[in-house]
Amino acid sequence: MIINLLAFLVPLCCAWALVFIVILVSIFKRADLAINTKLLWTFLILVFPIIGLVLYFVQYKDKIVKKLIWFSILTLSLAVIAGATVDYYVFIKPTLPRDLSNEKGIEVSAKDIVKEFQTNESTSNAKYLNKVVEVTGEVIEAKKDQTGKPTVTLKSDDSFSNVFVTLRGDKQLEVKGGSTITVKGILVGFLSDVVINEGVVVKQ
Amino acid sequence: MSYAQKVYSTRTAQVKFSSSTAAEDIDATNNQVQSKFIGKTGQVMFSLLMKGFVFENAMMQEHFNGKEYMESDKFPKSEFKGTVNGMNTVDLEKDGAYPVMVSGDMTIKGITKPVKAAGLILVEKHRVSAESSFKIKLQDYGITGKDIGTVISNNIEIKVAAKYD
Repeated sequence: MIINLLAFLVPLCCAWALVFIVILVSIFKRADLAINTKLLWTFLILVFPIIGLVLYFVQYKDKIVKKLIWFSILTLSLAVIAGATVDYYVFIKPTLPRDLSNEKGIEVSAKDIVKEFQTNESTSNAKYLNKVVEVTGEVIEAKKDQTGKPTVTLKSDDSFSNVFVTLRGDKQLEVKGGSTITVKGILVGFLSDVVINEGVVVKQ
Repeated sequence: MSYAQKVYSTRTAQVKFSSSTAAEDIDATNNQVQSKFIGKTGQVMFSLLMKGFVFENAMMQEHFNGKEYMESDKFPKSEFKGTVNGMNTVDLEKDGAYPVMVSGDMTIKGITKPVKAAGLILVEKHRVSAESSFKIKLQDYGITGKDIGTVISNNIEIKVAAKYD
């Protein structure tokens, strides 16, 4: 959380500092002001940064000041965009749920994947665990789990071991038993069934 | 067949765990837990896949399954096998809430330890369900990530709820 905030504040502070330095330098470079007036503006801007800058910008609407206004707006906006981008990609995006629509699933039939896990569980785990799969098979049953999430079981050649999928959303799947569907989801592992979570029906 | 001899089973039992410290509250839920319960003998088992635990924060989920904590690629499953003590006080044919004690062996990350917990068997219109909650110590199961003791509590509360088919 604190690091999260830093990603945003660091570029913003740097941008502020840059804007201050550029403006103060430009004030001292002016030929039309007496040294006392320059010092007064410097003092005002340092003590009341925002009010000081606005007053200065309003007081001297010449060409240089207009350039400075654009420079300040651009620098500060860039800092905000940079901070927000870093913040999103480094700190926020990794915490969001996995987006399966961007991932190409491993295509496999329910019969084959159950056979693979039954033959050699550890090599199958290495191949499939936590991967996105697209499993095609015949529906044995479509139900809801005890929290109300829809589930579907796809048939293998062994009636004691099938593919069990918990689907996203809360609507029970409307399918006729015996029809063939394709489900995309994250492979969680192998208990007595091959278990898939975050499933989405891609073909019905 | 009387209800007492039946094998009650489900593939969608729920196991939740939570860790609470001043720094952070962490919760995860697994709704794909397999459980079997034999009424006559009181034998009960739960098995689950570590990757079936879903966290609200995907990064936490990755850390949980990673090398520093659960090493779920190496230890993909956890299991509890035990007995419900005092089944003689439970009538699975009669609606009610029956407090029981459960004892058995729990295996997490390849380490098996005895566990004892209070539980509740609920019977409602011939539907049997079971609930329990208990605490475990992470160090008992060889789980020693660097944030344990500060961000992550050493004592984890586990809640189990199974509605049998």
